[in-house]
Amino acid sequence: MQNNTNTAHVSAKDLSVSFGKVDVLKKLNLEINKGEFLVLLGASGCGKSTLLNIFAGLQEATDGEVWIDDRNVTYMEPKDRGIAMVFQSYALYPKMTVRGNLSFGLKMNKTPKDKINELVDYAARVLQIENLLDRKPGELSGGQRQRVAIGRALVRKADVFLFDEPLSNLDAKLRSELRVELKRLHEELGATMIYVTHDQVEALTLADRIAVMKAGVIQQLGTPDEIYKEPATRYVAQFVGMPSMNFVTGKIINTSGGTYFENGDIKISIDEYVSKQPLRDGQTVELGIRPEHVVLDVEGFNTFNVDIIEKLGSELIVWGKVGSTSLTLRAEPESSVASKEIRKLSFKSSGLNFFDPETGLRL
Amino acid sequence: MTMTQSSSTSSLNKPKKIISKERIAIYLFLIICSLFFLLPLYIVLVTSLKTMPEIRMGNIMSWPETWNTDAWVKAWSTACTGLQCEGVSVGFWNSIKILIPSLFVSIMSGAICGYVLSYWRFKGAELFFGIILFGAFIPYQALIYPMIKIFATFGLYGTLPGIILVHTIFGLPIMTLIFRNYYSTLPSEIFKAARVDGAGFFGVFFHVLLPMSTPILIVAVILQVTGIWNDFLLGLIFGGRENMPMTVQLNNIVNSARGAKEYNVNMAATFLTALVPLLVYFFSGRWFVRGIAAGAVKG
Repeated sequence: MQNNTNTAHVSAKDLSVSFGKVDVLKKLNLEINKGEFLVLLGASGCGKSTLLNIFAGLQEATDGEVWIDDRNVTYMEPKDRGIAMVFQSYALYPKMTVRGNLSFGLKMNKTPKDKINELVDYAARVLQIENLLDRKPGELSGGQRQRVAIGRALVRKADVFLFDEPLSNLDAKLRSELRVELKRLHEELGATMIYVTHDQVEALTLADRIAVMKAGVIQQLGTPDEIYKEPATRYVAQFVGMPSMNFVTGKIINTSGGTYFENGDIKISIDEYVSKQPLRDGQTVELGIRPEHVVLDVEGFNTFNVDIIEKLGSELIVWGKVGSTSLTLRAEPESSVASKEIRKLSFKSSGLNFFDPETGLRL
Repeated sequence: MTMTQSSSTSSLNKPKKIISKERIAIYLFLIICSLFFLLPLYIVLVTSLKTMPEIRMGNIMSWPETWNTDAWVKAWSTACTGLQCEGVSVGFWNSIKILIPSLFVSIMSGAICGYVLSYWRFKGAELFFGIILFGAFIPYQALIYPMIKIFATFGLYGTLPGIILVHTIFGLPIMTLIFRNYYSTLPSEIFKAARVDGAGFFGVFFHVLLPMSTPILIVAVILQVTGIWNDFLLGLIFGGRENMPMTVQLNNIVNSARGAKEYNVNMAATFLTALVPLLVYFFSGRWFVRGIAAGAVKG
């Protein structure tokens, strides 16, 4: 059963959408590979749900085309695109039983009855909702409802699965459970999945590739690792990662002894940083460094005034200042740091990122 | 023993009820109001059960000496409505003939209009909705003459399909309004899910939305049953001789100039005519409130 699921390549070509004068998507291009798990990540209003709705055929693009494999589906009805979709609010049909919900799409395309039963039983087994088949959605918990909604997508045997923030209405524990389950489902089915979320943890854990969106434009498309380690823009850098990356504005200083970044409080050697373009002497840049790359170090050069410590169990988040520059760092839970302490710290050169303060682009 | 225990626990849980002066005033006011509104009904009922000599004695409020149902029988089957003397029963069946199809057609078309306006938003949908709503505020009188001319041209004037169409047209604005408002409270993702599942325009409507519409359908049925049943003007003008509704026939009985006025028969006929909307309110009052609340909050 698992092996006969299809998968497809999806591409968006020069997609634009505007509502009146507001441009929601601007000439967006995106290629999604067969069997890929692609996450569209962004804050609300960035156009990620609009993009998903266009893939689904629930919304019309003002301009541009959508292709699934070698078919131009831009003007096709949702049902003819070979897609299935899961919604944030579950969107189950309240007057039908779970079985009715799962089989509705199959009935609509006139699948034979025994085939319907076979597919419904298969989906119920995979999602462990067999004992719920005769209940109405109103009698289910949130997690169970979303399982049914995923099941409804599953029975369609679609080439492409679309998820619109499917876990956002669930509590944290259920969310992480279903996240794992979705990941397993993707591995079993091998279908192409496009997943919209504003939750970076979901994006980083689920995705093969992430497209970070802002104001209708894809800021960066890459693997979770690339997104996290080499953010292409300042926006991506601050959006991904918890707690957020530290940003410090300063100047580049080129001397015979090497290249430094300096802002009055901090001076860091940046000889090891591989920049896209040469950093000029005296150039104003923005340094981005993640909390785990700022380390308490007795041999460090920077005096760090500890302000507040957050104990998260598996780690400590330490907030404080070097001079007037605020910094956050991650420390081992057993480290002996205390609030209002004065410590030394240093920066791991592997974690340095530089951005142009004006364009926000990585340097 | 158990009694005292339970009463003591309940008195612990609930604060002791104090009948304040405000409460008494409120109840008094409500009782007076209901008496005021029930009084005509009482007079209609007792008068219809009296004999004519008893009515002539003039004690309008008095209880009937003997319960006499002759007036009811006469009102139903032999009272004269103009030249015919078959009582209001003819009108009753005419009204049913008008009501059932009008009810079905007007509610269905209103529901589909509301469905289109909330889910299949086309260019100019807002304007279109505005025009439909505007229709609700145009006085009947301004429309009647042009409508008679149009209906006459198409051979619909004075026919049963004609009067059904009239009720559908006049019911459409309010029906569209309540269904549109109801459907826009339902989550749009259900509509999207049904579209992805392959349901077409009518598929979504009949399989998904209509089953979710029970509360608002009940509201629509109540509004339309009472509205169409109580209609006098449209039935008189558009119904034609064959399809005079009950209200028109009641008027004919009450206003027939021949002989002495049979108040008991008139009262019985009035009550018979009012019975249908009265029963609708009686049995659906609870639903009516629930339907309005459901439409206002969520589905």
